[in-house]
Amino acid sequence: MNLQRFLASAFPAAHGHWRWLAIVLAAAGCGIMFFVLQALPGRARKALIAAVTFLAGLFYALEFFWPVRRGTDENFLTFAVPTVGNVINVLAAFTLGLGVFSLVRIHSSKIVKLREGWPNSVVLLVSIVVMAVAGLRFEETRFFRSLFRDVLNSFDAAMFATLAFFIISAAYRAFRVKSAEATLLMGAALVVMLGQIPIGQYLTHWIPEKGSFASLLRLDNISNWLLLTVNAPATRAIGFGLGIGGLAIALRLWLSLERGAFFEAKADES
Amino acid sequence: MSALSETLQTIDRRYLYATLLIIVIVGLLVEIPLPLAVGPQARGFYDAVEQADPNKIAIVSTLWSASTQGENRPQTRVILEHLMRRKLRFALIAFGDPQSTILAQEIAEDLARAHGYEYGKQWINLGYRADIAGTLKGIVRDLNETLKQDSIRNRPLAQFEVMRGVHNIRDVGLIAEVSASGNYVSWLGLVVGSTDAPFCYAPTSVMAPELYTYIDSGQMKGMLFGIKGAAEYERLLGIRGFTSRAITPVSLALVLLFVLIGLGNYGMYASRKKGGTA
Repeated sequence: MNLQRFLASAFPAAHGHWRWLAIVLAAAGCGIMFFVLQALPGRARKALIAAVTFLAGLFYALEFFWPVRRGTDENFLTFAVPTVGNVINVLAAFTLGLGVFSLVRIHSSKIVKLREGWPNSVVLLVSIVVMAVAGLRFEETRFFRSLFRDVLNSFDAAMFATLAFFIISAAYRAFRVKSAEATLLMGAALVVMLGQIPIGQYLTHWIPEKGSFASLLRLDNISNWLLLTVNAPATRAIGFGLGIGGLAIALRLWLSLERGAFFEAKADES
Repeated sequence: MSALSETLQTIDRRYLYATLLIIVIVGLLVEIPLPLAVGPQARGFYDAVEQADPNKIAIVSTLWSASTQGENRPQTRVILEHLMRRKLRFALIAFGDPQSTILAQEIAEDLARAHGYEYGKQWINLGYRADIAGTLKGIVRDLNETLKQDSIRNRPLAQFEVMRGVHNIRDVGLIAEVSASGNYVSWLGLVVGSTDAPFCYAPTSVMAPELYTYIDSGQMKGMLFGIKGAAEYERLLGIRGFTSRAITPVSLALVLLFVLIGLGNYGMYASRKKGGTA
């Protein structure tokens, strides 16, 4: 059994005008649902959200823990995994739209009220519109490619590249060896970084790469040893801690025990 | 002496910026012949591609934008170059940043022309997905149902020759991810245990140290350590391209960093010796 095939046969794909009608009806349905949810009292909305969150989380938990059928690696929920994955993707795509909506709302208000820095908001909104139109209507043209590659990519790369300057300045000012721990850290950092770059490797390149006791003294080998034998166990230990913490947070979110959520404040107001 | 130690601790940042800029420009213009040892992680990645089953498809996942393209672009390039040299079928998929799918596609199109790779026959772009976990859980079970269409021609995956015989993760012969993020957690947690396909990772340098634990455990068969990893891979492929050259300014910048840290600390030490404040 496949849920998607069942849904595809129950609701065959619409074409032509019917497709647009289906989109309009779906949008209208979503709009109505949105207003109904908005009209709900805070406590009811909180309970509804808690129930939906629990059911959504329950699917993957059950699918993972439920025993599989004999001779297969599937249980009664496995068939729905691709469909649920697609639903999550659609929801995640909505969050992108929500981000854009939020940006537009905040910056439009800034422009209307002529708050400080409003010209930057104008640039942002114009950029969003131009890039969206170029991407949706002219994706195969030089116009879009130029905007994407020559403008967006260049700005993005230039912004990130400035980090190198800040790192140099910050490391120079902040990295002072004032204790035994700081000395150890600096020594390890020096060896690891030297072992990763050709200039550092050049210092010990005359030592055989492997097959001899002396090869242990090559900077790249010492660097690799530090990363694998010292760094990896420490990272693993931190990973265990993070994993346990993550599990606790996931459980709190799943069971809606996390306090301070937006709708909790709304519920308290009502 | 006191004035010098004070100066060494408080060099104007504009001088630091100017020195770094000059070093990077000189490093890019002047080639300095330096040795570059190929590390075991890059060799592991190379071997995984070399030993990948030619009857199965390779998945190359990308999660990077133009901001980290200095490292991630050459990594993507060398991986795709190797896949094409081996005549392996591959599928691109992108997560995290919508830029990623276009950037990786540009590289693939560029290399495909050189290697005579045809879209839909030897390679395909599965596009960008906003959610990582849901998608990965889905492709473990049913790749076609989860991803449905390609992102260039918007046609069902089953119509492409490259996707023939590919139903789920068991039909994948290699998984490689080029990333500026911690996406490896999702791959390791949701996919790697369900397949025999080797999983290799190409992160930015700043992320690489946290991945050694998975190299050590054998869950990752190989790793490209930032741009240095890409340069090592170029060496394994017998290419002497831009990456091999770009490693020089990186080296010089790190040497500048060491020198500046040394000067600052010497200034502090000298100042303390004289009874000044650090």
